[in-house]
Parts: sequence; structure tokens; C-alpha cells
Amino acid sequence: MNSTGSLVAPSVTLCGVGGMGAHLLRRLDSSPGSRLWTLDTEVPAEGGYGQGPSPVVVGRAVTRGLGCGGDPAHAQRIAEEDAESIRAQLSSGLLVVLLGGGGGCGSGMGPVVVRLAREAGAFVVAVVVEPFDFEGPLRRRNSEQCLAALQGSADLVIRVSNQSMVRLHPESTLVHDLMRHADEHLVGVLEALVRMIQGPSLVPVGIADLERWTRGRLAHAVAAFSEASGEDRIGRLWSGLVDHPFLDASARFAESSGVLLHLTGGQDLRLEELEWLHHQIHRHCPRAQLVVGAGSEARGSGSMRAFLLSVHHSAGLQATPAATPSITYAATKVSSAGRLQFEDVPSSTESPGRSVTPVVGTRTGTRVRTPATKPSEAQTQFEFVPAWTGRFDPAEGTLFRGENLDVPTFVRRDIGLN
Amino acid sequence: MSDNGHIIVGLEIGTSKVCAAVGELTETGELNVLGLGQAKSRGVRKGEILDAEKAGDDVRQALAEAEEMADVDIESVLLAVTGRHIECANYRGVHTIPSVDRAIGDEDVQLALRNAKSQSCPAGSEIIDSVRQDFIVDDHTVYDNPVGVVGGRLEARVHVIRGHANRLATSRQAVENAVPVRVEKPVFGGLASALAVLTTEQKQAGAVVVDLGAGTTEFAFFHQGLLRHSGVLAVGGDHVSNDLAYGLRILIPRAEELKLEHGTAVARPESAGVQVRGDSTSLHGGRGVSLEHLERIMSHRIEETLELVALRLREADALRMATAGVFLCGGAARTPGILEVARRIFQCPVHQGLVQGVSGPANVLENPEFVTAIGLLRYGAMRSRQRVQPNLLGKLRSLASLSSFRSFLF
Repeated sequence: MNSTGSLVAPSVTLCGVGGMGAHLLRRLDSSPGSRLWTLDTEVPAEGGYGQGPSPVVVGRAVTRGLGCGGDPAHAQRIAEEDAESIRAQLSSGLLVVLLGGGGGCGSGMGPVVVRLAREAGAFVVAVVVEPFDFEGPLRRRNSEQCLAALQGSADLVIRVSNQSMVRLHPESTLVHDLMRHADEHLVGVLEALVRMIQGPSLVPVGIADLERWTRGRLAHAVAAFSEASGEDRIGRLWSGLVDHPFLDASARFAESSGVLLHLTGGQDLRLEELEWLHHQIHRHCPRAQLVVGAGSEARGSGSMRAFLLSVHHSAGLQATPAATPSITYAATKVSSAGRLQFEDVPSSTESPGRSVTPVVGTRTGTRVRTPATKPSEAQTQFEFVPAWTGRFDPAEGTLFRGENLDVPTFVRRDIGLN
Repeated sequence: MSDNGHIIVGLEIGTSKVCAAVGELTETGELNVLGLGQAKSRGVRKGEILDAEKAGDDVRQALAEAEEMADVDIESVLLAVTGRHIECANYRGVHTIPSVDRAIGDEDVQLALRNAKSQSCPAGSEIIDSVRQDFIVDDHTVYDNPVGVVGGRLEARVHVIRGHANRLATSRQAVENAVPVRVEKPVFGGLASALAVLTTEQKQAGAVVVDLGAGTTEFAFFHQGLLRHSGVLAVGGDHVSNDLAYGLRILIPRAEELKLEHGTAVARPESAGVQVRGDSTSLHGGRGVSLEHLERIMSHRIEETLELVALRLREADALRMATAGVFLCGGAARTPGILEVARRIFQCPVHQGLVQGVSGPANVLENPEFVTAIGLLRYGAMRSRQRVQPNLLGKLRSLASLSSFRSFLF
């Protein structure tokens, strides 16, 4: 992994694994300074990548170039056996691994690529596109297993739920249009991620910051991207973020343990806009450790773009011996003078090594209920949850933009009674 | 309902009380309140029925009281519904005009409206009311009535109020299983309250009604005679009591008493150091509590609730267009100082919402707690007027007149 304070210019590599990964790389605009490569088991794909990069094809001897047949275990074996070919493509810096979780190639080879990249010293962000519900239970299971494997190996896993796009579209929508919209959202997020690392910075967020922010968390994240200009651009920018389909539901966003916000604007980016967004996030996600960065661009003034990462601890990590998590809240202070970095002060209730299923929030005096993490386990014991909601059932909280309104207002507003 | 169809009954199963109102629509179109019934509500929380048996008992008591006072046999009721499952949103439906001469007909309008409705009702939900807004022809011109206009593409905009089908069925069955009456139709409580409070002129000019109930807070915004925006927050007077019970470390019944006796929407400096004990005759009396703390806790909750409503209204640009102002009704609207707080938050004139255009006992009409039940009577009166003039309905549809009940033609 990179050491912080490196003087080397950040290198960003985007690796598409399998058919979905290659497809996404083709949709990306050329990213200056970033290297693109793809990994696949199918030879026909080699000649069919159009403007995209040529793939590294592994397992030719085993598959005869016919792919892995949607079998993740088979794809994993192929990748392990051809590890040297993969290693030859890897370097330190930031590696973004793009893959479709439902297919065999991406879900089988993705975790191998991630592990090898970590060994090569890269900071690895895995972007997993989860399948639509209509793709069936097999692909859903593949995706879940892939996510479980990646959460134990990648520095950060960004989940992209294709199904979340469905609720934005009427049933009569053409599948082609649906997928195109999903691609557009995803490409917007990826470009914003690369821009954050490589673009001109006012308040930089680099690989080292990402590393510090995610260290020890074994976290998964969802990402959102928004753009606005003109009157009330900051309000519409924020609405675009919180309504973004990949953020899933606002309630989930409110329970983020970490939020990273990166703003890009022209010369007219104002301090009050940054502070307003900071305040909004703090209100919506009282538990979240917050990192805010800002970049500048030469585009015409009036336009603003925002990239948001909402991070959650992985549910059930403690039950995975291989993961051996030590859930800590890494400090995000940056010592370099003149470097603006907003940071939430961790509450005294948050101590290193505490359980990953906290019951109470971090803002002083605030209590936020976290939902049950395993709704599928219908018959099991349930934990006693201390409720600050009095007569109201804590399981039926009145959530409004992330705040549980059943919790007394004076508690949430931290109003003293003495 | 009686045989001549002029008796209308409204029933509200609220979080704190069950109210029934029996009204008579005279041949001249006047609406008289004939009877009222009320019972303490025990099976409802945040506007939704949790215990159907208890709710059924309360409904029986309230309806029996209203029936006796009005001296009529109740056959069917309009039922006010609320709760956080209620969703209110604007939808648009597009219809491409197939006719050669491109003149839009009534059927085209109905198809555009149907397309809008079909989008607005996902599986498991049920449309309670839908209110047509306006029409856009060929992406640029806005019409109240597009019939006869030449154009190729018709877009209809509709405000839809919908609820969770199962929860609506629960409310309906709680009534029908308890008493031998039929639930004619569910009506969104916030809409009913607005109909009771606002005059035709106020609906035309632009007005907001905020119903501060025990379990929920509902709001409805009218402009140019039409319902433009509405919504519900599952926060109400019960939350005030709950905050007081938590903050002052007292039981809920005592918190309720203290709220009614000493509650205020504004924390006053002169309350510092004052201790209050509540009703001395009450079983819940006991140690004194700080009036300063009571007022601080209560004022923050009321202020937050109004702020959330204001936020939702500003998103729809409703407060700017509400030239007639905001009208507060419901039990919490009687809280001392609430009008001042609301004026500061809404930044527009705020009034106490009282029942308009209905005759009946003055003590009932001036009581903000009966607003929803009486609003149901006005809703029913508007429907009855349509029903007794069925041959006019089609004409009215196509004319889309700006009468006060235009909003119910769709």
C-alpha cells in the first residue's frame, strides 16, 4: 500500500474484469493520466472491444478461449493459475477494479486481481455492479459471494445496485434505455472518482487520504454523483446527491459511518457553499466521519459537480475469522498547513475496537437507531435495543431525511435542560 | 346514509379521538351539521390502526352518539385516513393525439389522465384521490381545458394521493366489522381539513392548511381553486407528550396533563425557576417539574414540526404562492403562542383555521378538533352534487370549469 506523503504523482489504473468490466471501460471517456486494461477469459472479446483497451486473456489452455461458462470457481482457478500474467499489469497507486458481480468471470477473477494488486502495493477500490432482480437468483448469489470475498480483500468496495435504477423508471421502460441510464450513472461516478484523485485540487483528497479514511474498516460504500448550475445550484446539487439511485434509500445514507464529499467547481466556488454542504451532511449523517475535498476546473463558472461516497461497516464481519476486523475510527487530520479538511470530532461513545453494530449515535447526546442487518433471519434472537423513542416502537421510527423524529427534538438538537 | 342521499356521514379514526359527524345537504346546497359523536381513541398510533378491535369499539361509540343526536340511520360513511403510508405527489401522463385534424378530444384528455394515474400507483398501493392540475400541449402551452385545441402531444399533470392498500383495508375493515355500515370511500384527512377550513376565494388565491393532529401533521395547499400539493408527517401532539415524559421523567398521562395546562409554543424567560405540579386532583400529580424545561422541550418539538412542514411546502414553492396565508387546525393549533411561531417559520400570514360554510352548533364549529370530520361532510357534499347531476358530469369534465369542486371530477 502507498505510504502517505508520497511525492510521486498519483497513478490511477482502471481494470475491467469480465464482460461487464470491459463494457464499462468502453463507456468511460478517455481519462488523461489513467491507464485502462481489461481481463477476460473469452478470446472473441479480444477483437470486439472497439475503442476500449485490448484485454489480457487468461486461461486460454483451459477454456480454449470460450470463457468460463458463468462459473466463478472455474474463473478463480484460471486466474490463480495465470497469476503472472495479471501481476505483469499491476503497479502501486490507485487501482479501480470494475466488475459485474453476477457473472462468472468478474465474480471469480475479481477477488484474485484485488489480492494480487494489494500485494503489489496498490490501494484497491473494487466497483461491483450488482445484477437486476430479473437476472435470477443464481447471478444474485454469485454477486453476494463476490462481495463477501472482496470485502475481506479490497480497501474499499463500492456497490452499484442496478436494481435501484428500476424504481426510477416506469414499467414500460425499454430494457435498453434502463441499462443505458444505469451505465451513465456509473460512468459519472467513476469519472468523478478519477477526477478527485487526479484533477486540480483546492482541498485535495488523495490516495493517502482514502487509505487513512478506510483503514481497518473493511467497509463497503455506495457512491453518488451530481451536477448543477445556475440559481440555487447548491440546493439542487444536494438534492441530486441524496436522490441519487445508487444511494439506495435515505435512511441507509443516514446511517453511514463515513462520508466523503468532493466538490468540483469553477472560480466562483464559495466557502459558504462548502460549509452548507458540510452542515447538511452532518445533519443527515450524525454518525458519519466526514471528509470534504474540493477541486477546481477551467470549465465555465456557474457549474458545480459533487461526488459522494457513503461508507458502511460490513455486516457480519466479526463472524468471518479471515477478516479479523478491528473496527476503528481512523483520524483524518491532515497536518500540512493551509490544507482545509473538515472533520467531525469522534464522540466519546466511539472507541477503537468497538462492536460494528453500534446502537447509539455519535453526536453528543444523540441517539440513532440502527436497523437489523439480517432481515432474512426470520427466527432468531433479537438484541435488546435501548430506545430513546419512549412510547413509539423503535422498529417503526419516523425517519425524515435520515433523522428519527421519534427521538425527542431536544435530544437531537442537543438542548440542555440544566 | 338516508334514501334521498342528502345525509352525509364523516368518520375520523384519529390517534387521540374518534369523531363522527352527520350532515345534511339541503336542496339549496347548504350543509348543516345534524349530529356529532366522539370517543377516546385507544387503538391508533401515528394515525394508523394498531388494534382493530379497540378501534372498532371506539367507532361504534362515536357513531352511536352521532346517530342518536342526528336522529338518522347511518348506512355509509366517508372515512378519513392518514399515516405515513400516505404519499402525495404530482405525476404527468402523455398521450399522442392520433386524429388527423389534431384537435384534442375528451377521450384524449381521459387517456392522458389515465397514463398519469397508471404511473402513480405501484403494486401494493391504492389511489385515494387524484386531482387534475393542468395540461400542456406540444411541450409549451398550458391549458386548463385542452379540448378543441389543435396539437400533437398532450401532457396531463395530476396530483395523486395514494396509500398502502393493506393499511387502507385495515381501516375500512375495522369500521365495517364493528358496525353495520359501509365505508363509501377513504379520504385523505389533510384534504378533508382543508375543505372545511378554506373558502372558495381562499382556495383560489392560494392557501395552506396545516392540521396538527395527535399522531400526524397533514398539510394541503390550494391554488387557483385546485389542490396543488399535500402531504403528511407522522409527527404530532403525541410526540410532544413523549418528549415531555422523557425529558421531565414523568409518565405519559401526566405529560399529557401538563401539556394541556401549561403547554406553550414559545419558551418564556419568566418561566425560569418556576415549578409546576399539574392538576392537583389528578392521580398523576406528584413532584413538581420545571416549567422552564417543559416550555423548552415543547417549543423545540413544535418549532421542528412546523419547520419540517415549511420545508416540504417550500419545495413545492407553496408558501410563496399562499397569498391567503396558512391556516392551522387540529388539537395542537390551540397551543398558546403557536401562531407567532408559525408566522416566523412560514414567513407569511398565519391564522387559526375554523370551519367555514357549514351551519351547526357554534361550539362545534369553533372547535379545531372537529375540522376533519366536518371536512368530510363538505367532501361528501361535493360528490353528492355531482351524483345528482350525472348528465352534467360529462359536460363539466370537458368544460373543466373553475368551480370549487372541479378538483373532484377526475
